[in-house]
Amino acid sequence: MNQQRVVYIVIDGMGSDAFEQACESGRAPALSFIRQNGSYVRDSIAVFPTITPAATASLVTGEVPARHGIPGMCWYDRAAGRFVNYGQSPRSAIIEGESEVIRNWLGFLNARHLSPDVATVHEQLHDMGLVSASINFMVFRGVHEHRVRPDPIERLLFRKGLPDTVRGPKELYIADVVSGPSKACRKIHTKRGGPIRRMKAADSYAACVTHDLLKKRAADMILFYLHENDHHSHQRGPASQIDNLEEADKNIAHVLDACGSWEATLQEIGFVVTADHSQSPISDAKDHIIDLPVVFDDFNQVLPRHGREPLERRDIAAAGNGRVGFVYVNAQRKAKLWDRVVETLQDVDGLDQLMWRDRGGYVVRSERGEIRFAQVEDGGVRDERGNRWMISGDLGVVDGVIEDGAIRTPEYPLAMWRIKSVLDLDRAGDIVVTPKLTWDIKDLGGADHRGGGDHASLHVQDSVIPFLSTLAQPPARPSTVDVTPHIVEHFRKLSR
Amino acid sequence: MHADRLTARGVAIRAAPLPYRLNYGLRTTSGWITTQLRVQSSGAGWWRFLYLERSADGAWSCTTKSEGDLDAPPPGGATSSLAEAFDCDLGECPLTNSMPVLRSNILAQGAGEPYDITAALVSVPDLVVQPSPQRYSWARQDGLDVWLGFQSGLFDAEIEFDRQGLVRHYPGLAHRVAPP
Repeated sequence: MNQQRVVYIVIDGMGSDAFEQACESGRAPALSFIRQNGSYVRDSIAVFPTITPAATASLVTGEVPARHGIPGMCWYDRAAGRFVNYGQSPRSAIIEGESEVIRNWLGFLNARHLSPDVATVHEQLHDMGLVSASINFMVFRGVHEHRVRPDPIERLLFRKGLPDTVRGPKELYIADVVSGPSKACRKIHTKRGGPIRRMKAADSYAACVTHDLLKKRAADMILFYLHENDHHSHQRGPASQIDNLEEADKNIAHVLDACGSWEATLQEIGFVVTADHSQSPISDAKDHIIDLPVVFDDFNQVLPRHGREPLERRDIAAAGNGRVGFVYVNAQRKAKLWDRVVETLQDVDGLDQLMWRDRGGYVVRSERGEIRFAQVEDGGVRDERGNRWMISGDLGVVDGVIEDGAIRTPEYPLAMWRIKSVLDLDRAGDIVVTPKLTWDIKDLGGADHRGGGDHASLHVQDSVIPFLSTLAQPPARPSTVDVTPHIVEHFRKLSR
Repeated sequence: MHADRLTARGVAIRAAPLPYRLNYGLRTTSGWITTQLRVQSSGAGWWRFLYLERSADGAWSCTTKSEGDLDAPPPGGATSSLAEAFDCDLGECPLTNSMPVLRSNILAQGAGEPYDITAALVSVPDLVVQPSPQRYSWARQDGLDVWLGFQSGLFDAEIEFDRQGLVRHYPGLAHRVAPP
């Protein structure tokens, strides 16, 4: 094989069990074809929080949240004195204002919130003289300026939220608002019908553009994002993923058709396939839903409906993100408030872990006890990525086992590294909380995924994703931070 | 595995008569008392999920999800009947025999009174939960290995354990091929 180009496929929310079942039942022939012709790891681990903006930023930069700066779908911006919401739910968008959500996602996420100290795969490939494409992916920063061209309805809906331009890779496609040079797919979203398919955000549109770009040899690397699996899995639960992946597979098959036959395509084009996170089933019971503003009812808290409101005027702000929550405490009153905040959270039914930074290290508390840890250069115990940790307390908090100088935390994979990777980011708040399995935390607008599926926690159920690559030397035990370096290294080798 | 508790994660795959894949995660607290069992089973066209949790005051709760057509009763069951249970017994999983054996101390004590328990029996792959009276009794010893009699309803077997309390040989079900 002489794979000069690469298609990087991210299927939102795809869990390994569903992937394998879809492949082995014959319902995902295209994914099976890629799997049979490359390497496959069933237990690749998503960064924590296992939520799309944080995880996709890691997928596109190769960095953890503490480095790339994106903690989740929603967080409280202390400097701006308001909640940042990249598009949690229609209800939260109404409370925040649709324009504000669009401004945060399209304008701020890539241009301001994504750290300038990290380079996206597009920026790295551009520096190597290569052309890349991003199709409907949330994090797309690149060096080329693109005009935002909303249709009249979007212009009316989002008014001042839309920036005039965004910077992305040379070939940038973002739903209906930014369309790169490919004209071949302009009609596809009106052909297939249905409300979601009227938008170019549809997976079928992304597949069409990818196919077209491959045929025109318009890009060396195409990031092809399929989001519909996650959407349906939220609504109908993770069990729906096998059906969803069957649909996703049809779109991947269309891409594999680009060079005439799948075999011919694979001769020329490398494929890397993964997900941003998995999903857990959420209980049908109303009492399995945690509402952080209700939890902090006795505190003077910042509420999203207040708009801009500095935390200095209040005690606390809390941002629910599905199966993770970020809690921000007034810095001036922190010493006075801290114990009361922690005790309040410990009393909440359904919360699994509370975690925070403390004196250069990290603390995790649950009903199973408390653990403290810090990263060290030498000594301590090593995790599966080779990081070393000094640990004290009850390993049961992360279901850890230490054997022969190594720590394993299979129910909370790579627990120490992933916890550190978010707690080192101030934007994730002073305390990060995760609910137990089958429990969910309401978002900013009070919406949840009761009876469906959700994700974002440290638990294995939210975290294990498949990783496939037809490129040489794939990472043996990949996490989402290992994908971009793998692809960039492929092109480095080609250029030598 | 710790001095008095364990955490486990496992996979079971069965080809016939009904092909399925089953993933589970199990957690005990000190005293080998099960606090959490999550099980996900799936086959052609169906998927089931069970999350059993025992609170500190001994109350069991159960959350289930299912999708597709499996010709079996719905997953889960009445948790009120599990009030006396300290253990889960996951069908066709030799690991879940360890907790009652370790808690009873029967391996150290040797021959003596049988140890009677009620386990929360989780049948597979349907993930139906029901109380199951079970009995462990000393049978014989050979070196460091111990055979215990195990009775559950009409089922009766001699199971071989090592000194750690882990199953070495479960007739008709499992044989350990490497040390843990």
